[in-house]
Amino acid sequence: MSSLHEAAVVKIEDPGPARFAPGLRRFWIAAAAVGMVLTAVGLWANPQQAWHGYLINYLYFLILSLAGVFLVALEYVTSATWSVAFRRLAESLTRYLPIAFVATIVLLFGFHDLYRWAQPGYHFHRASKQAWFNIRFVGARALIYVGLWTLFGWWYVRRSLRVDDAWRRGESTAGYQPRRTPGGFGKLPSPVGRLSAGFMVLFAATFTLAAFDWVMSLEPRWNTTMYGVYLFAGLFEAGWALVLLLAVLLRRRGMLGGLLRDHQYVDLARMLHAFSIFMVYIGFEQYMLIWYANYPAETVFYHQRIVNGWGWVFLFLLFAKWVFPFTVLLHQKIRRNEKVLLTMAGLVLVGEWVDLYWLIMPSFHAHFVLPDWIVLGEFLAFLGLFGLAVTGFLSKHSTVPVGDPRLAHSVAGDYL
Amino acid sequence: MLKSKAQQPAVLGIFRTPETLLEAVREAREKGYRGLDAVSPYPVHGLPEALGLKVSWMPRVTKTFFFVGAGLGFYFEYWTMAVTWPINVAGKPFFSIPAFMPVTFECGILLTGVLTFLTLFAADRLRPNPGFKALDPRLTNDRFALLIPTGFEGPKPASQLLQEVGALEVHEIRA
Repeated sequence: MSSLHEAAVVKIEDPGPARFAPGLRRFWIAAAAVGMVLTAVGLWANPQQAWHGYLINYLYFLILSLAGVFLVALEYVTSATWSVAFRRLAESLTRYLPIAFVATIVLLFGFHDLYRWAQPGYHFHRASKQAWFNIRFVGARALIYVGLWTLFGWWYVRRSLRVDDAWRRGESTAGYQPRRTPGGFGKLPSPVGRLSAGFMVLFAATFTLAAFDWVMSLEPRWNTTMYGVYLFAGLFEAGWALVLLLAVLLRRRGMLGGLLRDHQYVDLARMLHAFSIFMVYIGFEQYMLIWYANYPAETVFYHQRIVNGWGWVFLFLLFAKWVFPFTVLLHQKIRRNEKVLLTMAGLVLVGEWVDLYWLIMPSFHAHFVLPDWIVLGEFLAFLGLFGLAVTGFLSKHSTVPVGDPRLAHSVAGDYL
Repeated sequence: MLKSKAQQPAVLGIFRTPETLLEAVREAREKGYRGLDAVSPYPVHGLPEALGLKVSWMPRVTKTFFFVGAGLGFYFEYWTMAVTWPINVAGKPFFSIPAFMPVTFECGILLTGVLTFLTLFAADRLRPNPGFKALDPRLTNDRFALLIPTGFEGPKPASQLLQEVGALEVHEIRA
C-alpha cells in the first residue's frame, strides 16, 4: 500500500477562490426576487397548488444540499482519498442548508393545504399514528431534522477551512486524517471519522422519518418502508450528478488550478453510473413487490401515478435516471468526455426534479398537468437562493481543500 | 503468469513499493525498452497505462455474455410460464414482465460470471501445471517486479537500469 507519509508527487498550489462572472450573482438575485414575487402571488391565487409546488422545490434543493453533507461524511467514514480533490464542491452545497432551515419554517404554514391529516376531523385507524401526525409534533421534528443537518454541514465546512488556514500558515496538516495510527497498532478513526460514522446513523434515521413525514404522508393511509430509501437513492444519484456538473464547469474555466484531473472525472462518472443502478434497483424493487402482492391499499399509490397521463412521467424517470446514464457511462473512454458528462449529470438532475414532481403532484392532480407558472416561479426562487449560497461560498474560499494532507495523493491518483 | 515472456532471456527487478515499480516502468519505457511485464500482488493504479498495454477485450466479451444470459433467462421464463405450462398465479397475466425481471437479471449475472471466468482462463492458457516455477513467491505477497526482456545487447544495460531506479534485487532469467 502507498504510504501517505511519503513525499507526494504533486506540488499543491492554492488555486484560490473561484472568480465567477459578475453577472452570475445578479442573475441569482434576479431569479430569487422574481421567483419570490411569483410564489407570493401563487400562494394568494391558488394556495394548494402553490404549497405542492413549494414542497417539490423545497425538497429538491434540500436534497441537493444534503447530498453535499452526505458525500463529505462518506469521505471521512471510509477514509477515502480519491474524493478529496473535489470535496470543497460538496462542501459548497451544504451552504444552502441555513436557507433550507428558514424554508422549513415557511413550510410549516402549508401543512393545512398539503396534508389531509392536518385538516380538522381527520382520523387515522391507529391512535399511535394519530399521535405521531400531530401538526406541532411534525413541525418540531422537521425543524430538528433540518437543524441537525445544518449543524453537521456547518461543522464539516468549518473544520475543512481550518485545515486550509493551518496549511497557509505553513503548519503541518499531516495530523488531520480521518484515520490515525496510534502507536503503530493498525488504524483507528480520529474524532472526525467517528463523528461521521455517527452522522451516517443519524442521517439514515432522520432522513427516513423526514421522507415519511413530508412526502409519504401525502397519502395518509398508504405505507411503505422503502420510502426513505427511495428518496435517499435519488439524493445519492443527484448528489454525484451535481458534484460532477460543478467539477466539469469549474475545471473548464480553469478555476480548480489543475488539481482535478481526468481520473477524477472517470471516478465520479463511475459513481454516477453505479448509483443510477442503485436507483433503478430500489425503484423497481418497491414497484415489483407492490405489483406482485396486488393489495389494493398498496397498489393505489402506483395506480394514481400511472393512470391519467402520469405513466409517461414514470417512464421518463426510468430513462432519465437509469437507461441513459447506465448505457452511456458504461464505456471507460466516454467518462472523460466533458460534454457527455455534462449532459448525463444534467439529465439526472432534471430526472430528480421530475421524480419529486411525480411523487407529490398526483396526490393533488388526478390528471397529469405540466408545471405551471407558480411551480416554475417557486423553482426560480429556490434556484436563486441555492445558487447564491453555493457560488457565494466558492467565490470566498479556495475551490480545492488545499490543506488536506491527502490532497496530493488524490490529485496524483495513487490512492489504491 | 509470465509463461510466454519468461521463455525468452530477461532481467527481473524486484521492488518494495508500487510507486518505485511505476517509476521503473516509466524509466524503462523512456529508455526504449518494449515488451515489458510487471508482476504485482494487487492491481496498481496507472500501471497498465505506464506499461502501454492495449485496452483489454474482456469487457466486450463480458457484455455479450450478459445479454446472452439475460436473453436466455427471459426466454426460458416466457417459454415455461406462458407456453408449455401456463399457471395462473394470483390472476397475473401468464406473460408478466415485472415478475420475470429478477430471474432475467440473475441469469445474466450467473452466465456472465461463469463464462467470463472460463474465458479468462482459456485466453491466458491457464491450466494445472505441476512443473510451474514462480519467479519469486514474494510477488504474491508484498513485492513488485518488473521484467525486461533482453535482446542481442545482453542483460547488462537492463540490469544497470534496474539498479539505478532502486530495485532491491536484480536477477537474470535465461530462456
